[in-house]
Amino acid sequence: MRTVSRTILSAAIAAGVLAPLASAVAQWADRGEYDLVLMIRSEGSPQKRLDLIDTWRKQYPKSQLAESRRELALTTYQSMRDWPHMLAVAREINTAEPSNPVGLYWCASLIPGSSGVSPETITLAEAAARALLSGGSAMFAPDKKPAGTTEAEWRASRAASAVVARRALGWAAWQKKDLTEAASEFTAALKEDPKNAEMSAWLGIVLSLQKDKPAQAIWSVLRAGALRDEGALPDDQRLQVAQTAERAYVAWHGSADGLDAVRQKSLESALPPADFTIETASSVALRNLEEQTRATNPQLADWFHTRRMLEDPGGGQFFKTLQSQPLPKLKGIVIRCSPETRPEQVTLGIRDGSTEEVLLKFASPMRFAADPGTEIEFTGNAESFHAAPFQLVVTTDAKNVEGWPARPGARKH
Amino acid sequence: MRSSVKILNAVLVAVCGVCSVAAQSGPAAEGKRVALIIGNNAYSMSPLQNAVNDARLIDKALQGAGFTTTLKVDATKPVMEQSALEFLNSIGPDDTVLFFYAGHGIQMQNENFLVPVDFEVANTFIDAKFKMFPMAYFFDALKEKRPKRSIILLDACRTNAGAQAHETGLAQPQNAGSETYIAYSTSPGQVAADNPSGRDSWFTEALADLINERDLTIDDVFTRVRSRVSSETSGRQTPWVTSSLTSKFYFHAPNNLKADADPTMAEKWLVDAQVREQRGDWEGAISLLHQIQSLKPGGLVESTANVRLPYLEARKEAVDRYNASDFAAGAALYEKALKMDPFSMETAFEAAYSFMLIDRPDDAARLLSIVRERGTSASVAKAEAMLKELAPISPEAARALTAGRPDAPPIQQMFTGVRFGDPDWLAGRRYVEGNPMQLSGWLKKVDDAYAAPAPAPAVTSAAPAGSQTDQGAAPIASGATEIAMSVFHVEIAPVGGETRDIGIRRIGQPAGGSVGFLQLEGSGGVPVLMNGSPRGQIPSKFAVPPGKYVLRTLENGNVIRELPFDVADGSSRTIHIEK
Repeated sequence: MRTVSRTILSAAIAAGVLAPLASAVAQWADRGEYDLVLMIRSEGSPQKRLDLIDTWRKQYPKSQLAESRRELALTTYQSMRDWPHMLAVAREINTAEPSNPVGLYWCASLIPGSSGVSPETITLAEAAARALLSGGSAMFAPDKKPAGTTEAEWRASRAASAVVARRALGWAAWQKKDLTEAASEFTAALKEDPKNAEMSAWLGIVLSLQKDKPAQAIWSVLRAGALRDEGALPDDQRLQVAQTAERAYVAWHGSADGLDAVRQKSLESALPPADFTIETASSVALRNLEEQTRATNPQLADWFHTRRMLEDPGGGQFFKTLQSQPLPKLKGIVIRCSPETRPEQVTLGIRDGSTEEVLLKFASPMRFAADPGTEIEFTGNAESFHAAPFQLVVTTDAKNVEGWPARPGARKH
Repeated sequence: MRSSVKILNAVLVAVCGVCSVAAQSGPAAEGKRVALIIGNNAYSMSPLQNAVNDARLIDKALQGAGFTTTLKVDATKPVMEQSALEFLNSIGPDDTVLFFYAGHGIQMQNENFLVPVDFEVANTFIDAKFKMFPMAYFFDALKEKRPKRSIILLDACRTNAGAQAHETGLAQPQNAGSETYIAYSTSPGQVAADNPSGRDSWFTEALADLINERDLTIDDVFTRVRSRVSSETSGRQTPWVTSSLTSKFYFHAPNNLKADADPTMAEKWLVDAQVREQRGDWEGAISLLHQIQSLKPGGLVESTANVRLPYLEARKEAVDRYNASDFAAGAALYEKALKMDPFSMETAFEAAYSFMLIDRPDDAARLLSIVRERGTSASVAKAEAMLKELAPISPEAARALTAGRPDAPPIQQMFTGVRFGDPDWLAGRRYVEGNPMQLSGWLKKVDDAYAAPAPAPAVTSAAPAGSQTDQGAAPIASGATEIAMSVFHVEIAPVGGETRDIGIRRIGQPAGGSVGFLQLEGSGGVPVLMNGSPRGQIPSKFAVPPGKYVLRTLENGNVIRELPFDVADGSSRTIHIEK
């Protein structure tokens, strides 16, 4: 009854001392143990098989085959699709043999999305995933390739293992609210398995929560809802994701125009091109306004153009151009002065008197305040801007402002 | 030879045991497609124009999709009940059943009712319920019939009527069974347009078009229906779907449609195949393994199925040959099967019996020796007893008995479906595909992320600076969409008009030039949608035609409150809205 524990063996393998586990041959305690296992093998009913495994555990608590017993229990629960019990057994395997790929693989696969998530399970999933990634070379060494498995299948297995690990790492980061890390792991998973709709959905969600890459987020969610067949989400969830993606697109763009084209495009690759953008609803509206007012009010049309360019994702670059020269003369309506006496700055609407668009800062306080609704014309220099909610900060002085009241109470309508 | 004959008796008993099992259940079959279609126009109270056309259009589309249809137009309550009864009685367990209704519908006390054309004014809920067709009964009956899948399509408004208008418009069916797909022509809190300028409703027109398209799953069909209807109605009507289907359904399936199922079913099928094998249901087991091969799950499951299939085919063929008294062929096939599964002691015994029947005791002894090596203690004892009986006529049996008993083989050789210490690397992906993490909560957050107050200006405010405009003067579709996405907003709609909501009707039309006023006060900045068009924000004052209206407050797209109110000519009505 010679045996070496798998844990020690695994450590030895990791240290490069021994060849993989194939050399470890655990022995039967007696023929009765073999009989039991042969009965387990022949038993078709998973529940009866579990009962027999339990009998084996009780009759042979110190069996050298305890590791195999746990794996048989795991595969039996798997055949029953009893994921909670399967996870419990995977955790047992992981506790008894921390480097057993079976425990690592199933802990990493099953913990994300399971119920009862805790800091401990997050840590376990993360550790299992990292072990899968770091141990990949040993686990998928050429001599580990099972007979009858092709090279392509073996590569696919390794990729699948990496996806499971990336998925778990991304999920763990997501649980810890590290959305940047989560997005990075889901992106890595998609590089291994581009048709993985779940990863696209998760990436889209975390990017949406991050808020700084809305177009990329919409791309990912749209793709997750559009992918079919291999790697697709189950139909009910796919529908749910597709609807969310549509709503997000419409909310962002202001209409469903172009939605089908973006959806179709998203099917071409897991990640959008580097320069991919979706025009915002505001930009669409401003573009329309610009077109509508170009003939009748070119000054206002220029303003719509300026605002649209500033709100664009590349607005920073446009702002530098804007800063390099004085602004053309603009007409605005006073919304409020601050402070109310001897104001140092005034908030203006350019389109109308209700939408705050420009904050005009005076080099020195104005002598009198202007009433809300007062129409002024001004020039100045762009100092800074904020895209959402939009605000352009402009510096100027009194001589560059026309229409400002010359005395208290004077109003211009 | 006496010993051989004695053993032969045992063989016959054993073989009869094997042959008596005749389970024939194979994979689930696809049954017939049946549909009941009802379209009601001819209401005495508020007739509709298009519901009958809609029913006919859908009838034609469904017939094209292979459905056997029953069409009823302008159905009274007895006709609706009788046709439903006949329809339900025609349903079998493998059938796909579809129920389409176009006409007035109503929700009362969280139950949905379809309105027959002979419906008359009811004074109480109880009275009204007795005069209508309750969907709850229909769902209950469907659940009992347990068809393969049920598809319920309702092109009817479900906004609550009259006195109980404080309840929200949508009653999600509480008793719809599993494998049920329900589609409504409109969303919670909306009314379904009858498309007064067209021949069919927006919903049905789009639906019929898309049913006719090949390669679209039912989800694809409704995603596109939703997009079209929403676009045609400028966002005022968005069809709504709920589904518990677990498999894809195509009205017109792709020509190359492959087996479709939850990928984790492969593991289950493998076990089911083993159960059938244990019962001697070779055909059933073989069929399941073929299903696994069609699914192509990859990894250990697929390779196990690939390995097991020839064994089962050899076993089945061996039984067939044996039953045809071709014992020589039977013996060869049993031995072939044993080589593919050296731990199937039953196969070893069957092979041994077959060899004995053709007077080849040495071959029988050889197989019994295998049982001595790999069998359980009980089968080893049985094999040894048989070897003792064979020993006088078989030198091989005598040698086997004098040889020592070999050690039991290691566990790694015993299980073809398990590689100890090495997971099935593709099983995790199958698990993930079959059991995706619930995303509803997260998707809600995505909605929230994009539903933040939009900075977009209204298109109609394209006026030069200084010339203030009434931004609510013209309805703008894109603005309406933005407001509809707003986390919290208010919608005001006239009660009645061209809708399929029987309970809500504007009483009389405003006289030319008559006007009343509506003042909204409360939480400042809350967007207002008036009859589908953006009308600025609270606080606001509107001039509206006299009549009955309903005000809805919506949060995250859900109606959280409804308030019906009247506006009289020249009157002013003030309503406070608080978030």
